[in-house]
Amino acid sequence: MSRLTTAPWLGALKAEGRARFEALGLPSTKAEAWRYFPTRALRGVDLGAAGPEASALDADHIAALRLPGTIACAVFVDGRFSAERSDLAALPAGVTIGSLAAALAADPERVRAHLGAVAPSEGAAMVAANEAWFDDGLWVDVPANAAVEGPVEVLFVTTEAAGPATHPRNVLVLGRSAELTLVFGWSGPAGRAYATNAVTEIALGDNATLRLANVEDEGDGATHVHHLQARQGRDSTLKTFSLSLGGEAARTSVRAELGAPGASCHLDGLYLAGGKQRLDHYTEVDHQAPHTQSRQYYGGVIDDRAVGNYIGLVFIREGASKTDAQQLNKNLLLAPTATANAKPSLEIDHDDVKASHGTTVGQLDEKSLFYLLSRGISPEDARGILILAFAQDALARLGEGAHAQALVHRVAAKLGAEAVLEAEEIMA
Amino acid sequence: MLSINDLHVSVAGKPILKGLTLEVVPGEVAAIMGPNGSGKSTLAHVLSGKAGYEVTSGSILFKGQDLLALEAHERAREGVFLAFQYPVEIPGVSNAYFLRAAVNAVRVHRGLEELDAVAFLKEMREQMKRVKMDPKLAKREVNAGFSGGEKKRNEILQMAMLDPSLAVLDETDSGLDIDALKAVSDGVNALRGPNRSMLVITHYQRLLSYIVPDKVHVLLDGRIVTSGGKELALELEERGYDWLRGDAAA
Repeated sequence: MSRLTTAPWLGALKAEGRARFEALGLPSTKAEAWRYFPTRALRGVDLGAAGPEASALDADHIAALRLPGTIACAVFVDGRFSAERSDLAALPAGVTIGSLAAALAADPERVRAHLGAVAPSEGAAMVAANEAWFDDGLWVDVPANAAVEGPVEVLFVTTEAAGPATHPRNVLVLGRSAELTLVFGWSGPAGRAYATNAVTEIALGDNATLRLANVEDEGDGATHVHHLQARQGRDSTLKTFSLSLGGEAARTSVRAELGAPGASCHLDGLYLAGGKQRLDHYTEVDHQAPHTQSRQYYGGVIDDRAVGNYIGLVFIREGASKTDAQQLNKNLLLAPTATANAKPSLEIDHDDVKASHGTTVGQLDEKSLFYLLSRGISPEDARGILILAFAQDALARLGEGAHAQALVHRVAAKLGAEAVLEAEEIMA
Repeated sequence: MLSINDLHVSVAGKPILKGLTLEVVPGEVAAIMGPNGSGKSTLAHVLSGKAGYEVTSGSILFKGQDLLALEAHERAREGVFLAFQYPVEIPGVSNAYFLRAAVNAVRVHRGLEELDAVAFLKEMREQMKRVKMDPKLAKREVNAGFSGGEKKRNEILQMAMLDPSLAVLDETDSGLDIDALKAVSDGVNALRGPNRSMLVITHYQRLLSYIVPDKVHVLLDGRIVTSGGKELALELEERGYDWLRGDAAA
């Protein structure tokens, strides 16, 4: 049973989402945007099944997930906000970070202006499914000129008690010249099939800045789909970093609409795929206005039988003079059975723009490996040094701070190169 | 120190070294001279354990042990050092980190304690001074964006830090201007000693005016065709290699 307010407009929105999802069905690999991503794990899953009314989660569990250097933390358990597990006391007055369901109850018109408006469900099956079945999510409202100093962490935890799918809907509204850094962390139990289908809508006012590190580290049986979409005001800046570590199949898509002059976005990411994982990244940058800038860097380290995918589209619309767009995807294959699919593309309808894209797929450089070995460094360390150096190219875009440093360590640990990282830090 | 006996090596099925025999005694600086394609770099690579070289017959003894039985990193730890003709750029890895990892791997193998960061950096700075290397290069990425001379100085720096008993210098002089050549040669000469041998592989006699060898060996078509003292290098400079080709064919 939904806990949401039963406002007629919301009911209509959800009914529309449901109708659209039923008409579209699950995305198939015939659709260009989904060509590398297996949604078959979702077939037959009752995506609309109600989740548990209340889920229990130890405080210790949350403490173990938390990153250092974050000033506050909002916790969602099985898709619903947990006030008792959250720690939001340090937020400045006037800044709201918490439950979307609560915001819908308290000030529905404020939410209505953005919900479903930044990321419409038309033609987007998984967004439509989320619209149909979300019953909570993150609500962020940062008023004009407010700056939240220090990163705020948002944990989305799936428990053993969860239903087959959760649909968190996050709505982030930053007023004029507002500034915020968020770290999303997605996690869940190992050895269990479950689905997360999240949508994050971002409305950035003029001159606002949002930095968002999105850390997907779901359980090994999870299917994770997360679509982020931003509408950007004049001179606003969006920086997303999509780190994909977990899940059986995980997809993070970002669409940035640079709709006003001077808007810029940095969409970066790193995916570490092993075993039989399929990790998918899809981006769309839509340059609709003059003097807009975009930068993209996605790195992939792919081992075993895993598959890493990147599809990136950059549109430069008519009239978007002086647009400056760069898009780069680099993949490192660690096994002959590993696969990288890379598809960057540019669609340019205007002259007088700068745009570049590139992609590489390669293995560890034999010459570099031999150079390290010839100096007495062991084969394991030599590999670790080179793999970490590759990952650090992407990780350099995570930004500063203890939380970023902790994420670099988590990556190094997953790559088996933590000792290398520690020794590097000593010498830095 | 080094005893190579009737060594035959092929690359992709093609014989390159065809019965090379060479003896280097402790403390000796031996020059290997030869024209392009004679097998000089193959010799350097086979000694260092690079993949892709097939030893079809013959043996290499290094300090009495079978060098060919060791992996590349084990050879380095045992005391073989190759100064590369083309030092490799490794973006994302700092020179200081790389060299400390190497030094400590070698030290542990030799039963010495690891150097902590402070002790290592002190040593590194001193050695950098000796090869006239800009101290800023310590923090830079390994060889990335280094000039030709800086890369070669970096090789000699690594050699000084790793303290090998056999140093193989593969065309260390090629492409260097005279200042860089002098700095590199001074660095090498400072490392000469009774317990260290050097194999100086070069195409040009010029280097041997700065690093004066005890012996000169001529490598032609995969074999040592003649050996002599340092004056042989001068003779080769004047007469070229053609007058030796008859011997190679014989």
